Amino acid sequence: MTQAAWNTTQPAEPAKEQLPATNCSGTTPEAFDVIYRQHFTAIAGYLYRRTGNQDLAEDIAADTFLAAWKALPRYQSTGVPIRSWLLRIATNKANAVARRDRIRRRVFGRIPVRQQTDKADDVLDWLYPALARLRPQHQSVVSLVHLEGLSIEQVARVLNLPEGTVKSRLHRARAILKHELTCQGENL
Amino acid sequence: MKRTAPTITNKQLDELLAQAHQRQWAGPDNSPEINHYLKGLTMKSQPNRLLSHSALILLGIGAIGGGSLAAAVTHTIMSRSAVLITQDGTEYNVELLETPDGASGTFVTNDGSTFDIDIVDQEVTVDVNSPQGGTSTVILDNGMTPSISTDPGQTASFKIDQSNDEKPSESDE
Repeated sequence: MTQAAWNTTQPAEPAKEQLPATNCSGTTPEAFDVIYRQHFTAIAGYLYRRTGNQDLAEDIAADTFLAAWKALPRYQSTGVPIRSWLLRIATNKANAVARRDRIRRRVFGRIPVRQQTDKADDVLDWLYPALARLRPQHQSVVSLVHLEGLSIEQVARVLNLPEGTVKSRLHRARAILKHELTCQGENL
Repeated sequence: MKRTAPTITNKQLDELLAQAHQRQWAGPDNSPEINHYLKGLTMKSQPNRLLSHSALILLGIGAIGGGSLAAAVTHTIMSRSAVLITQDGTEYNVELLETPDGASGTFVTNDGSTFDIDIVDQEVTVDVNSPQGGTSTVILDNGMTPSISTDPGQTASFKIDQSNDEKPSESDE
């Protein structure tokens, strides 16, 4: 198989890579395969830490890379590091799932949030239901800052938002999360 | 009387989040769905390389191991089924069967065209015997290189004749 030249020294936040030679659809599948294999684990890991559910994370990661393949021709003009760009797509996909879950809960009442069955972990089983009750945009900033360890500046780049907006959302999200955790404690 | 839980502090929240931050991805490092999708795209990107226009197929299995070719073939035959995917995305079921010399066989396409195959060494990029599946390369006599891919649980088949001295019985060229 012809492997397109691609920067294989993968830093956490690489500079914008030069895309390899493209075919009529924008980019060769071989080139995208390199991107996919370099970043799949990182993206799946992010989604796992955000959702707490490995199967769900795997599904969303697959959706992320399918969407990335389709959007890759447009990536060349965004000027965003590839990892940030993939995190943005993954975040949007995770937000869509979170939004559906919230609608389901609104329609069917206060049903339990998506079951976290990966491992018995009381503490995290306490955190994830509360996290899932946040608005998707709040889940995003909490996940990217606290679960991924990104700086405010990096999160702003991923979400394409001003840093001030990220800070205010994070402050608000933490307050709501504390409230949700406290309510959960009362209901135990 | 309603029990009131103490409000969680910032420190407690940070501790909880730090624990979640420690969670490591223990799942697969790729997605079968994406692999399959990309494989199809790769084949479609080379539509001029159609299996139906070739007469002789050389099946490369060089990555199977350093032992004798016959032994490697036998191992492959006994352990794996496969799908042959041409570069236009067409998939053919193939089943690897044991053969005395392990060196040739017949491949029949959907349109009934029959091709002889030879097994050659050092022509493969991925071990088709991998328990996780893998990809092998079929080298056609005109230089085309469709691939044979195996995934866990696949039930494809590739039939090899007992003779290795047959010539292509027909060609659609």
